[in-house]
Amino acid sequence: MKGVMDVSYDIRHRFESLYDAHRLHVLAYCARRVSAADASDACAETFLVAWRRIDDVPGPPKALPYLYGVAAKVLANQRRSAHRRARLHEQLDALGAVPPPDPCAVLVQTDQDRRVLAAVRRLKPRDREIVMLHAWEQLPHEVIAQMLGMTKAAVDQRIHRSYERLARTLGVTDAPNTTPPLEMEAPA
Amino acid sequence: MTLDQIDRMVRQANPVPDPATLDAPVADHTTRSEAVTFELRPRSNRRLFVALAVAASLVVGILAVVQLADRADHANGPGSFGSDDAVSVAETFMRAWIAGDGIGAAALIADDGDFSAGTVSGSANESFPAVEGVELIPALRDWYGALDASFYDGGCEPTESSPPSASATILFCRYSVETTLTRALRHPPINGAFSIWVDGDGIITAVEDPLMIDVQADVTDVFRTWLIATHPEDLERMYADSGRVSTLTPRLDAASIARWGQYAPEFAGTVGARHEQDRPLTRREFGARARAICGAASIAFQADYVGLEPNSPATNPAVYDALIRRSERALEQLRELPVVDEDRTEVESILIAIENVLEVDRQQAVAAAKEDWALVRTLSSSAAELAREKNELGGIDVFQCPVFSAG
Repeated sequence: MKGVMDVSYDIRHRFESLYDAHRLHVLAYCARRVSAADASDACAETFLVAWRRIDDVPGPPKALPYLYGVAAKVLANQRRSAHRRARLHEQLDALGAVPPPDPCAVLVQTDQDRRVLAAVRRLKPRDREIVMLHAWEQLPHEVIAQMLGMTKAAVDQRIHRSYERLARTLGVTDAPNTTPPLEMEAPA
Repeated sequence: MTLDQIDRMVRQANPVPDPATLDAPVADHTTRSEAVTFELRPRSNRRLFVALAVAASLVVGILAVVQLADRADHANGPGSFGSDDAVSVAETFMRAWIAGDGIGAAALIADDGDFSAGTVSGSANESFPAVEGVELIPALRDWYGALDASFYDGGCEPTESSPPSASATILFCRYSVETTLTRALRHPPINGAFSIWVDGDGIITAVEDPLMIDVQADVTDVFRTWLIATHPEDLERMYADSGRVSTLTPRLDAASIARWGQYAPEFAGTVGARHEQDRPLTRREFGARARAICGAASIAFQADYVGLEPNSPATNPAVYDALIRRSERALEQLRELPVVDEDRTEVESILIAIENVLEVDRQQAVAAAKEDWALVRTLSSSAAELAREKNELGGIDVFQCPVFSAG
């Protein structure tokens, strides 16, 4: 009996460590991709999956990419989920009769940021995900490649191509091909 | 400007640049998200609530300004390659696909283009395995050919999320398809849709069919069960995901496709023969058919809904009209199904429950047309409550009838 309790304690301790270390990163990952209500749901569900499959969760530094992978699946499933009516209701609540802009967001978002966000949103889904993982989650390209079942070269190529598209979309027609934004250091 | 600068711009535009800020305290930004709890770690609930509230307020605000940016893009006027031209390009792809010309369809996609079916996010997904890669289009189309598929064209139209100034116009091309398997099971044609990206030069850069595999599960599960019972030795050869359940990932090589072509008619001649026309259905059979009908209606409604993005679905009267239209058609199909006498009462109670929800939905549609969003919200609560009561009746899966909007 004592052995069972020990195992239970170890699992719980491991999960709590995982949760403490990565909760905000996973929540941010979700919040960058879907609405607020969906992001919070997806984050909770991601850790629920992690709890159930705690033995499958790799240790650092692979734990976070693993959780991102689970979150991606949760978000994909969420799109198909059977709670859309409830979400419509939530959306109505959140919006009110007229959707009010968030004054804080307006303050922190420059016009350029808005244009870039809109352009990123219109990238092809797989390219968009790779760009987000590179620029926002700041994952090494090798890790992105492992997550998505691609080669690192393919990830490099897709980021390069996506940025060329973004340059065109944003009205920058003279972006040279000679300076690929590969494996940059994360900004301070 | 270099691509390094583009990279910095993208990083700068990160909606949540520092995850640690999600833990910052806020006083008044309370949302429904705060009701979400994480029971496995109660000590952290308060921090989680705060984080979720901040995330909620941030994302709502960002979505609002992104919508504004989209509208600004619309105001910039059309580009050199108009949306009508893009529709023509997408329709060319659809014609090739529907005609069974997988090679021709694949040839219309750029050399570095993408194709995927069966996944929404485009990322690796164990739960819904994807067919990915332009090179698989001919084989996928051949697989449909082995199932004697008939595709019906639902037309292409640009989505609102692809303004002319964007790098690509995104077309939504609907179709329905019936196969040997659907015919054998008297399943209604399956509705699907391709999302087709057409760039400013009129080149198709990506084609996605995120719903295909999921929607077909109702039919293919029956076939798979039959196959396991009758030809288990070929399961591995025909499925790329053998061992998993409730998903369909056909192996797309010649040997596999040949077996699909061999066994589908055999399935139709045995299992299908038991689904003879007009035979009254048991409650369980009715449930399976209802699930298919309501699921198809829901997918069709999602197609309507996606076509309306990025306008807020909650405040778009067209969404409510589409909801009513799809729901009424589904209910009509359910009523046409014959039911055995002993289960008739239970089925009737389910249909009445659906009609009750639908009636409130109709009232919502009227209120939405008048842009009386306060009344819409009130009615939405009533509809949600009635839907909950309907779903609690249990026994028959009509969860997606009436259809409802994605958030």
